[in-house]
Amino acid sequence: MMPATICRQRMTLLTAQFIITYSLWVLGLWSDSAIGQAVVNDKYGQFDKFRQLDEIWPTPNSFRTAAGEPGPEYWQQRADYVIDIQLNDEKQTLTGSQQVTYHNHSPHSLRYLWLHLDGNIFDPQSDYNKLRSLAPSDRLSLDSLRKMQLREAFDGGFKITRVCDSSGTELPHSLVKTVMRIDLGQPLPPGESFQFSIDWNYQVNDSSIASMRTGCEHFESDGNYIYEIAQWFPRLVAFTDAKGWQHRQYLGQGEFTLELGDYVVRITVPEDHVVASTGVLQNPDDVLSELQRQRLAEAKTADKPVFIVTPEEAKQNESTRKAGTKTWVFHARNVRDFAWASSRKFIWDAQGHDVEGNHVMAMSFYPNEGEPLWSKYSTHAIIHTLNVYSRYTFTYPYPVAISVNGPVGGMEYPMICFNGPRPHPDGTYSERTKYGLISVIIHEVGHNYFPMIVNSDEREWTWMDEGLNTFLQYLSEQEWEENYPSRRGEPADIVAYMRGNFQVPVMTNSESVLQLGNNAYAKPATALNILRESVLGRDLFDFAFKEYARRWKFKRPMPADFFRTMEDASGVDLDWFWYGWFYTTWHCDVAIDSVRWHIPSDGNPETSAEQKIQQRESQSPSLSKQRNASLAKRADEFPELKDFYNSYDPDAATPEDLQKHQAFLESLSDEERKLLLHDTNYYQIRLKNLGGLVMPVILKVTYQDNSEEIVRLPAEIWARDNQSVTATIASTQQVASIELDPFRETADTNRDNNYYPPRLEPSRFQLYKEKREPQGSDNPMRAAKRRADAKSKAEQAKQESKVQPEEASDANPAPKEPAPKESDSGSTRPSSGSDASESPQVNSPILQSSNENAEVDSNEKNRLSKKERRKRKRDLGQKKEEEEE
Amino acid sequence: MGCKLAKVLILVAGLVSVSGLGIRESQGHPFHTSLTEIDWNPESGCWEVGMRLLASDLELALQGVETNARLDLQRLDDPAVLQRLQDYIHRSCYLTHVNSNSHIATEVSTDLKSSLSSKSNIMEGLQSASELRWAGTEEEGSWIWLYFELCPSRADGCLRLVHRVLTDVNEDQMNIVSIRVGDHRYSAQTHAQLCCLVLEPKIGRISQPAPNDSSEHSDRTP
Repeated sequence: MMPATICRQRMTLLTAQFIITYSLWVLGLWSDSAIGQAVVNDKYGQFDKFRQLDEIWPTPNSFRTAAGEPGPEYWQQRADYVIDIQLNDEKQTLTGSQQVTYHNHSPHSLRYLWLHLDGNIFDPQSDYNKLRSLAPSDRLSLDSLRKMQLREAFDGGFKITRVCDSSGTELPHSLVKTVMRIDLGQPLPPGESFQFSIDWNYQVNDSSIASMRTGCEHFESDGNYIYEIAQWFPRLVAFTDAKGWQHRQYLGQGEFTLELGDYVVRITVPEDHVVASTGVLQNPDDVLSELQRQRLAEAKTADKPVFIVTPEEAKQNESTRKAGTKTWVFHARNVRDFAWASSRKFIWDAQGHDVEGNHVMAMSFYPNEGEPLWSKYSTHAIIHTLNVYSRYTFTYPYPVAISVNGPVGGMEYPMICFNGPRPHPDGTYSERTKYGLISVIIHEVGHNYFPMIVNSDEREWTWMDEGLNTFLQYLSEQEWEENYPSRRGEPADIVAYMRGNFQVPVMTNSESVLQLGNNAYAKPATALNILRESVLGRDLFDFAFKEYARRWKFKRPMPADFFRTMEDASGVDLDWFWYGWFYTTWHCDVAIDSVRWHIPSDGNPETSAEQKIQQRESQSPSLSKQRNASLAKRADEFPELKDFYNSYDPDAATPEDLQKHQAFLESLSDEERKLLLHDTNYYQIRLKNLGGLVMPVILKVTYQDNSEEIVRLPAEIWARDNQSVTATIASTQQVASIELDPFRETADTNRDNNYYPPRLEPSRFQLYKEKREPQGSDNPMRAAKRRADAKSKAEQAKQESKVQPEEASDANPAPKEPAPKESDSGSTRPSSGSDASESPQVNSPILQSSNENAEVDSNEKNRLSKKERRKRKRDLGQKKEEEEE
Repeated sequence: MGCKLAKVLILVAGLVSVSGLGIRESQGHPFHTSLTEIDWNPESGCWEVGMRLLASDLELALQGVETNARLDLQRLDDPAVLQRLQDYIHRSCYLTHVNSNSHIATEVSTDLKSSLSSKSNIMEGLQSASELRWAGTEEEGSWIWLYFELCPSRADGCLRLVHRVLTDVNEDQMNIVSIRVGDHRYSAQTHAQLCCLVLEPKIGRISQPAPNDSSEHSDRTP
């Protein structure tokens, strides 16, 4: 029960003060199995979650500074390639010859060079094949079994036929699974270059059998292939100041990092193939028709994509088999890899676009099987990506950006990427497929920035490109359309993963990562979004992030360079954030443990007495007291036994007390008196950190007059005690309720303990049962198409029945009943029965379809109009406000 | 030990060794995690389940065994498609009583029995002792939510939750299970090698026995 004095009405306009006190609880020794990468520093029996990370990060040096930027002596190697490659479409083989010029910019002499042979992953004896664990399956299909056998028998891998220097002298070389060492006759001194050649060939993998980041897809309907060729030639291993040779074996999960360089690649393919490639086409006159060249010129300045090869022409191409070959020549400058695609099935569209002053040809290549989805979205998605990413990082520096549809689900290379989603064979597609395509294109094109240009090491740290890229993907998606269904980026979307305990820190080598997608993509992306929205704020974050991209453009950052740059450029110590999100598996679960309400005394003895009495009376009497109440008391029987002490109340204020208080008040200044008499409620909110991760505390305080206030307390609230703290709210208003993390911005894994007064969040099941939407139905596009077809048929039938009433009447002996045209064939009639319920109108499939459509319409309206309803509601609200104004 | 449902101790059990059979090809994406939220409803005596899966992976799991024909989850208005989904869930996610006696049974996929029985015998550790009451589905972007209740056949005894959904599609599939009983919430996960959770009474915390704890290995494959 509340004392009367504090229940009185208070001012409606509030000011609240927040005083943070830290309750220093000495608890048991901290232990957490996820820790172990840091020097232990117990503070009050706790692990110090705000400890500086300099002890973990590499010591700054002249190559990489403490500020996180390249140092004055930063260096990186370079490799330039000239490659001739022939594609055999009959056998699906590649035969190549390459000349490499390796530039040693390091301060070291090199006695050997290492090259990646990623294709060796397809060798039946590769570690990748040996290490693939086999999960139990009780429903292995025959098709899967067949593919398994074919995969085991597939003779993939490089066949190196010659390695020699520029004079033609053979160079000793050794294969070590997926890498190859070439021994140099003489050490290569710093500042010098070395030229050598390699000849090789290999069998292209059929993606339906051996799926990887490269491969070919066979179309049984027309006998054609789409080739998406990547990680396809012997590539120089990166040699760095931080790692030396990065020649970790290719085991399938960690992708790659390479040296930047210039490429001239001559690709010889069947004459009727269309080739998409990294780089700029050097000989359009040799490989394109005059019409195609005209269209390409037109596309440069077009405001929407222009077909260079139309769907009809691609269809036509599919049926040809020209005997000759053509060689497409591409030149790419300052790229870290080179990939290409080839097929006679390709439709090709293009649109020139100015990205912050750099003219880029955005181009898409896809088969008719990708239509109508691809021509509608692919090139738009490329341009959108370049616009958004360039704004957050640096101007896209390359002349082309390409998206190709083929067997690879999603993979990135410089200037070109491969993306898999396609519509159904009937041309319809689900919402999932549509947004899946847009998202994967944004993601893969976005990889041009990370790691193709900001050349981080994917084989070591997947998160450095996938995490950063997924973060920018989220930003780009949100600028595509309102309420874009992004899957990653929002803190609420990572909660499921964070709840689990079968995980490793983000700072884990690519091959050792568990749950790669969540660990290396979603978690770092979410962390960066939280850092942007809830820790640094957009301006500060965006400045720092752009600075990181600028510093390391065409250079090779390591994790500490990113962490240090973000702190250096933002001016905020983020060590606690990096440690919690990247070095541990802690999750966020902060709980409101208790809320205590205090009304400070102003010293008035009457008020104090009243409060004491109120408090005393508010306590329930003990059980004995309750039961003894009815007993006859002797003092009642003999009133003469009562004296002064029977009526004396020790809590009551005496005249002396009142006098003293008056004197005290008079001794105060006006300001002091005002301060003392101010009506303030103090609420001490005890918070417990159950998940381990320290995060800012966000409270939504709702007062009894229904006004609300958002209280944001920085993560440093946990600096002295990271297990339990007390936040104090001071307000003239009384608090009705408190909600922790009201905007779901900290990825709190258990919201049941986020409320005062306590309440449980409804389960997903309960929410579903409450709204109980209809069961899933066909994809909305197909349903709409079916409706349109049915409507058209209905109208046609209606017309025909009007035109041929006599014919129908003749065929249907039932009197006074309108008859459908086909009734004589019996095809639309019921199979049995002849009563009124079988009237042709009722049983006509066309009419049935119409009825069904009405139902579907209604359902679809319900389903599809959610977003629309929200939008309309908003619009209506705005309109109403405008009207009121 | 009697089993009260008010408090749950989840013990991961049921080490399933590899069978030598390959998984079906996954989608090539790296997101092999599902979320299962399970709430105890004391009024109905059932566990209410909301299960979030990647729709594309679920389609792969449901595809035809013999034809590999892809199933379209947007065709759930087709009773046959819905039935296949329900069958799959019923087979992959169920409750069973820990102390019952009957539970080792050899189950051979009926589709493969004629041609592959000698190669693909799968020992199903436990048989379902729960009724699956289907509630519905809901699409959310690329995810699909499945809603159903698991109602144990009897109220007493400890329960084991078998959850191997999508472990036949992705070798590293991780099913994160969040169980709430009253105001207590517990999290654990299942995967191909550890596909069971034992629901034990009284102790309100989570622990996971070592994989070689023989007392919990009745869900072993040969």
